[in-house]
Amino acid sequence: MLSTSVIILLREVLEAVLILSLFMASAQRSGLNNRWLLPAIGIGLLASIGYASQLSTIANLFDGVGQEIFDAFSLILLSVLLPLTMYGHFIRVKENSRPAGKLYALMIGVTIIAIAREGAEIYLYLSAFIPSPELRNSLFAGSAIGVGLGFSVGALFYFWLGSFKEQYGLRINAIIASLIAAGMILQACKMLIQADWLPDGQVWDSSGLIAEDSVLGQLMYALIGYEASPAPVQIAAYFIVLLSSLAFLFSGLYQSRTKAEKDVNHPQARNNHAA
Amino acid sequence: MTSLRRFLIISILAVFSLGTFLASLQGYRSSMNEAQAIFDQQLRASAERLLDTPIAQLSTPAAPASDIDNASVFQLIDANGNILWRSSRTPTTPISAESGFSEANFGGYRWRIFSLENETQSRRVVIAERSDLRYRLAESVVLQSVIPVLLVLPATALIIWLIIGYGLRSLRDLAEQLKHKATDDFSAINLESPPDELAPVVSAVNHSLQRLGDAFERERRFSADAAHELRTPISAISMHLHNGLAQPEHAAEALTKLAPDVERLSHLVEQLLLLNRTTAETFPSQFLPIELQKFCREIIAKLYPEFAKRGQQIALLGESATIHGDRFTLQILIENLLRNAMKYCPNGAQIEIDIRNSKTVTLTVRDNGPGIEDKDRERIFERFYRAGGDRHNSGESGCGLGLSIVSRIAELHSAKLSAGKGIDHQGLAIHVDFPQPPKTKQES
Repeated sequence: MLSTSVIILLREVLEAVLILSLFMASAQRSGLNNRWLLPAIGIGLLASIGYASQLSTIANLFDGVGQEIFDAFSLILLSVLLPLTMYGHFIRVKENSRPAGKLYALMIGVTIIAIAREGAEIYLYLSAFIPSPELRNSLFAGSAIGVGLGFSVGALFYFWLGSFKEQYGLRINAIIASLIAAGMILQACKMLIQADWLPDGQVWDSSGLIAEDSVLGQLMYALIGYEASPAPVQIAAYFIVLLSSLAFLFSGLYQSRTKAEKDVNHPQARNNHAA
Repeated sequence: MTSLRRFLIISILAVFSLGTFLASLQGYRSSMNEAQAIFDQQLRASAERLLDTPIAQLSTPAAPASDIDNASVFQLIDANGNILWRSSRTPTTPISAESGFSEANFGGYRWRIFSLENETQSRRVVIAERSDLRYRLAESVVLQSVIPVLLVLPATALIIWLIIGYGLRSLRDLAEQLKHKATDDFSAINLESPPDELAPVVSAVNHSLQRLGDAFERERRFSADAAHELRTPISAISMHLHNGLAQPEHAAEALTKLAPDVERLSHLVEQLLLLNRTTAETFPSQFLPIELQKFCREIIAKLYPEFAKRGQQIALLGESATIHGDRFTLQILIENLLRNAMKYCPNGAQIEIDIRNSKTVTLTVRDNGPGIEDKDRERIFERFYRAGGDRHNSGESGCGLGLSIVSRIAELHSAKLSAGKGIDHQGLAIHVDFPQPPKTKQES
């Protein structure tokens, strides 16, 4: 029970915490404050309870695969919004005067969706076992270890992201965001396979090398969407999203850099524009 | 990074939690496996005891219910598959299990089964324990070692928070003192026993504050003194001009009186500019080796016509010595000392430059002129100070900046300046003690 609790809580917490760490580190680079964070987490937690309470209704939709479809949809949405948010950060890093309203809205939106998804899973898991007094100790101990591991990794991840110089830090952020987005699309495909909307299959099985239910497996799941036995459609979707996200974000980095270079070469033009 | 304290606390706690939790998880898994192995061992021992039980002594086919634990069941089966003996609440048909350990579902539970065969007696025993109870029992034992680790973590976090706060208190104190310092407060920062890492920072800040305070004070005094000193010749010039204009017939006389005041004003401005050039802020950081005797000879040669005009004798004594310094300012130092002696000594006086090279390199300029009183000696290096008042007994005018400039240059070269008696206990001697340069340096 303890082991299962650790893995479930770790998986759910890690997914949300890595996104939050990435946003916080990016916000710091683009000169935004973190006042959006607590309200977003609060709304996300409330949304997770609402989502969990409606899960049985949702599950019955689409001939009983409603939950898989809903999960897949939210993951696809996140995998689109995450690179968009990072793109917004890259543009703002070079243009501090740029209004940040949309960027805050994107960060809050992604955070709410991520926390609502993961929080609902945690809520359902805990509420299923809390009524059993004999399981409570191992449930709480396992949950505490899982949450502790998740937040510890998140905190160190945040400091690690913040430790790079701006030039490298933005590139690292672009790569990490693309990996997370690609991992999400991998999981979305898994949901759609489970709903029989996509064909199943197995390209390889690396569970002997890195088990999915190990701490390392969960960390890789959250960071790069590791799956021990992926289907061909998952691999294809993974690389399509990874490469397109990388191209999109690096084009944003290049654009912001050339814009900054132009400003350096023609400061007068910028001043006139600002005036 | 917005807060050093927050960074340290969070990162240390994260690393500590990560290590502790991973170790706890690993410990839990190992302990659980070990507990399962112990349970299996007990299962095997029970099976062996049951198999050795003499079946003839049994009075009933089923063991009394009170002897059987619900958590475990057994069947003793003969070669034909008939159950010879079984525990209560046990399936009446033989449990299908291979020899050794296996797992199976019956009675609504999952069971851990051990099957052992006695070939000589042609019977076998099947003994089973409920997996969920075994697991729960093992977990409850293992949790006893995991839970304290989790409970102690908040206390550890609190202690780490306090320790880091305590460790950073000097930094916080320093920040507070600097934050609350008034703009014109150049007093030293006072930290109670600063740590080794912070002591150089405090020392550097205090040094900067002191320099800033000195510079501030110097500039303030300089402005006041300069304004005062400039006012006198300007007033005189103004008065002579007024006289000249009011009485054109006496204009030539007024202009003649004007000349020394203009000269004095010019000299004062030149000296003020020199003084400004010799501040620490405008001073070169690189010193070059200078052979002092050769250097003094060059200066004497330059000034010799002026000494000769006054019939004064100038001599260079002593030995060869090398110091590290800035040629331009050292030339001003020596020239000012010589001009000072030249100015205040009567015609025909004797002036000497003496260079001694022992522990320190000492340059002395002495004369046999009128000298100054002992009480004035300490003050001659002050700015705008003139021994004996505005006009010295010698009748020479001065601005009182010459020795002040000498003092500034000496300070910049870490040299000590002192005044004493001159030749044959007459006149004045100024000693400049330069520190010895490093041995490896070559002469210029």
